[in-house]
Order: sequence, then C-alpha cells, then structure tokens
Amino acid sequence: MKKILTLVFFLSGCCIAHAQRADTLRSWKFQSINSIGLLNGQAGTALQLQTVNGVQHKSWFAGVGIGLDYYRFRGIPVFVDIRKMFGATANKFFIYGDAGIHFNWMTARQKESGSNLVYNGDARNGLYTDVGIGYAINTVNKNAFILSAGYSYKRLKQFYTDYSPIVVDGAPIKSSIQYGLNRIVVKAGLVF
Amino acid sequence: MKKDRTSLTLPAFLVVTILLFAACVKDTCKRVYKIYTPVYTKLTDLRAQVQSKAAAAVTNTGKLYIRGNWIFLNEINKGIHVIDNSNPSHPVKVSFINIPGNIDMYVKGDILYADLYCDLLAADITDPKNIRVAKYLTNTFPDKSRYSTAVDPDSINIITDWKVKDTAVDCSTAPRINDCINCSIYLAAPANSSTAAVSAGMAGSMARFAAVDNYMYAVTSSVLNVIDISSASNPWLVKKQDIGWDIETIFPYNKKLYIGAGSSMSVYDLQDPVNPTQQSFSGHWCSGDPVVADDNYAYVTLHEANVCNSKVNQLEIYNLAIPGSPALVKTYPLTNPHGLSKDGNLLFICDSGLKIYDVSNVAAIKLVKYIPSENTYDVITANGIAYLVTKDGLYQYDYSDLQDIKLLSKLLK
Repeated sequence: MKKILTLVFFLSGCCIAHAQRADTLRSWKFQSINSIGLLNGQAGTALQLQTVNGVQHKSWFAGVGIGLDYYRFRGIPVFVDIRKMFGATANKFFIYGDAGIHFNWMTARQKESGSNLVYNGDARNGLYTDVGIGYAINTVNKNAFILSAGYSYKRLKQFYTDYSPIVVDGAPIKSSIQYGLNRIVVKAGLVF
Repeated sequence: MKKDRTSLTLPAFLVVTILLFAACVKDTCKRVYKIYTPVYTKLTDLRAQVQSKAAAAVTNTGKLYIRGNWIFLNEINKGIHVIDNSNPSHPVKVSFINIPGNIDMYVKGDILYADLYCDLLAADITDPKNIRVAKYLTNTFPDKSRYSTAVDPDSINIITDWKVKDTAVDCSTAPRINDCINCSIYLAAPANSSTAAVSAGMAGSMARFAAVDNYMYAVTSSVLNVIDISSASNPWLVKKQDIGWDIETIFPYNKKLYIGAGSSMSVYDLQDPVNPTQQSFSGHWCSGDPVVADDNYAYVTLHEANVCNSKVNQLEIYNLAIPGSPALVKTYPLTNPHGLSKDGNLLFICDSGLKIYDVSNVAAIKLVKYIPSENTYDVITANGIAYLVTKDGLYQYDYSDLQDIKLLSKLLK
C-alpha cells in the first residue's frame, strides 16, 4: 500500500509538472499583425503597409516587422516591435514601440534633384522608429481588429556630385542631403 | 453592447487628437557640403618666389615640354622640373624652377616662357640651376586668376589656395545659385583653377602654348593671345583675339593652329601670323578634346567631362582635304582618352594606358600595341621615343621596334 501511495504521489507530481509546462507553453502564442496605415506630415499623406510577426506572452508581445513606407521617399523599414496590452476585458488598449532600419528603395523620380546637382546613385539607409498607442477589439477565434495612432520617424541621406566653378585638385565636389522625416501615423489592421 | 460602443469612443478620440498634431510635425533637411574660402597672396610676393631650387621629387605631374636633351616637366601649380635627358635610360633631374601657379610652358633657345597665375614670364634658363627672370607680361591669362585691371603687382592679390570647411545648413537656407554651391563665392572673388597636363621644342597635345616662327600663341578659355617673341627675352603681347569658349588645347602644324575646345575643334590659318584667321569650325559633343594633325587628317580624342556630364569617349578623325571644311571620316570608341601624338603612320593615344594604332588607313585603324598603365595623361613622340606622362610620373619607351617596345626609364613620385 505504501508502495502504491508512493507511486501515486510521484505520478501526480509528474502530472502536475506536465500540466504546468503545458500551461506555460499555452501562454506563449504566435501572432501576426498586419496593418495598413496613413503617414501624415509636412510632405503630405502617404501609404504604409506593415506585417509584424512574433509571440505574445501574457500581456507582452515581441516580434519583427517589415513594411513599405511611401512617405517622401519610398523605402522598406525592417524593425523590432514591442507592445504591451492593458486591461482585463476582451478589448484592450496597448502601447507599442518599433525601432529598426529604413532601407531606401527610391523611385527614379525621387533620385532627381536640382539642375546642377547630380545624384550619384549613393544613398545611406537610416534609422526608423515608430511609437504609439492603440486599441485591440477581439473578433472571432481570438483574432482581433486593431486601431493605432502614433509618431514615426525615418532618416536617410542622399549623395550628390555637385557642380562647382571652383576646381580643386581636379576632383568633383561632393555634397549630401540628409533628411529627417517626422510623421503622424494612423494604422488599422488585423491580428491573427 | 452599450459598453462596446463606449470602448470605441475613447480610441477614436485618441486617433482624432493625434491627427490634430499632424500639423505640428516638420521634416528636417540638411545640406552638407564643403565651403571654399579663398586665400590671397600679393603678386609681388609670388614673383619673388620664382627661382631655381635643388632638384625635387615629382609629386603631381603636369604638362611636358621637350627640347633637345632637356625635358621640362610641370609640377602642377608649383613649377617646372628640369631634367637632363642626354641618356633616356637615365634621366637626371637637374633643378626645379619654382613658379607658383604654373601649368604651361614653352622654350625658345635659352628662354623659358611660363605662366605664373595670370602672368606670362620669360626667364633665361642658360643655367637651369640659376635662372633669371627677364620679363613679366601681366594679365595675359586673366581667366586663370582675375586680377582686376591694376598693373602694380603690389596692388594685385591672387587666390593661391582655398580653405575648405565642411558646412551643414538647412536646405531652405543653403547659399546657392541654381543649386550651385560656392557659385556665390566664385562670383564674388577671383577664381583659381588647376588642370593637369604634359608639354616641349615639342609640346604635348594638352598644351595651351604653341609657337610658330616668331610668334607664340597662348590660349585661355576664350582668348588667343598672340605674343611676339622675335626678341626672345623681351616678349610682347601683340593681340588678344576672342576665339569662342571652353578652349582647352592648341596644336600648331603647317602654319595652322588646331584649337581644341570643350565642344569643337577649330583650325586657324597663320598666313598673317598676327591675325590668325578661323578657317574651319567642327562642333562635337561636349567633352575634353586634345587634337593633333598631319598633312591630311586631324585626330581628336573626346573624353568624358565633369563640366557637362558628358560620357563620350572616342577618337574622331577629320579629313582636311578641303580647307575650311574638315569632314568627319570616322569615330572609334575609346575608354577614357586624353593626350595623343602622331609619328608617321602611328597614332599614340593615352587611353587607360598607352595605345598605339596603325592609322595608315584611317577608315580602319588597327591597334598594334597596348601598354597598360593607370592615369595616362599625355604623350609626346620623338626620335623613336615615347614620353608618357601619367599621374605617377614620366615614362620613356623606345618604340623603334614595335614588336619589342622597351621601357627605357621611369621618373616616379
């Protein structure tokens, strides 16, 4: 009897431990956040498309994202996304923060410039950030519709060969233009 | 349900509120470039620097001029290396003639003519280690460094250098004229330019000085100076003649001057040496274009140029049979040609190395030899020797046997 009780004790312990591990695994959940956004700033309004894929653990989410950003200069932001949910109800507020690199993908027209500036084909990628708040509305099958608004920034640099009447050592003069683009971003998307 | 509607109101309010801030965000745009501030030196002080010095290292090769056993090699904007070439296999640097702002040169007898910024000087070089300036002709090349109309060298300040400073300004306030940075400085102050080159008794095709009989012809970017050198040590500016714009090179042949410009080649007749008469004008792509000629043809190399973003790199051959109307025979693509030289049926072209063509049939020239080299600038051929100037220095090749071209010597940095 003592042996049986000992066996039951160990088995129950194993079961409890197994149940705890299963609970832990269940608390890590893969999520895909796909959104379309509008970027609004001094240069006007432009489209943004993003997909962020990562895992949610309790009220936290972490993932990596990639997108298309058409504001002023077309580019592809690649970034890390962190967000935190608030509230115990089905619909939740959240805050998010993105940081990464904006890879330039300029159109031919965006490479053009003034009459005496010749874009030499060289551009430097720059910082990309986006922070904001949002609201997630649960739909069926634990999917959600999200709305968010925030502030986004991207930086890039274009290099030019400058016309100059001053010739020094016969070398063409180079100059650059560095852009820091500040936008308000509003996004709507679906979470799977 | 009422609760859900309430829960949507708050985020909607936040979105609207944030959108209202959209008008507050501004983009930033910074233009980063180099701003050039001129450094002035009195002409008197510059003239005082003209003197022979001990032989110096070749550092920044320019134009070349050959006379007898002597080679004169320009050190851009610094002066002239005098080289004893009695033995082409062992050229010996004898002295360095310090001439600030020097680019071009010509030698008649024992008199050297050279530019010192916009002055033309005549110096006795009987003893290259101890030259003596005989005369200055002021304001001969005004576009090299605009002096003003003053003649007193003490009252003339010349740009001899530029202080360079990296500058970053807001795009909307960048000081520029039609997107041209530094144009405001250029227009406000005299400008200075430096141009690499070779020149000699024989000058290279990149030369701006040439002489026929008792007259020397020196071109600026728009003017042909006619200088009487019948009294060698006492040159006299006879005439300034407007001949167009973007003038780059001058090549004398058979009582004619072949003048290469940024977008043309002109031939001037010297029946009246004081009044060169334009005999023909042949336009071409905007490009750098030294020219050489023989009895029947003119050979022009066009190379891509920064000033007009030209990407043309080719050889053009013109038939000179009808005076006043050169006819383009054929063009040949090249890589990035510069100076050229002609010897019999051989045409030597600096084109990312030295290319030697058989041009006995101009309609189908043949490459007979290619000597790879970097940054070749100009070449002079004389007595079976090719004097080749590159950015690295001066090379001499014996090409008397085309199948076995020998490097005789190299005078490097």
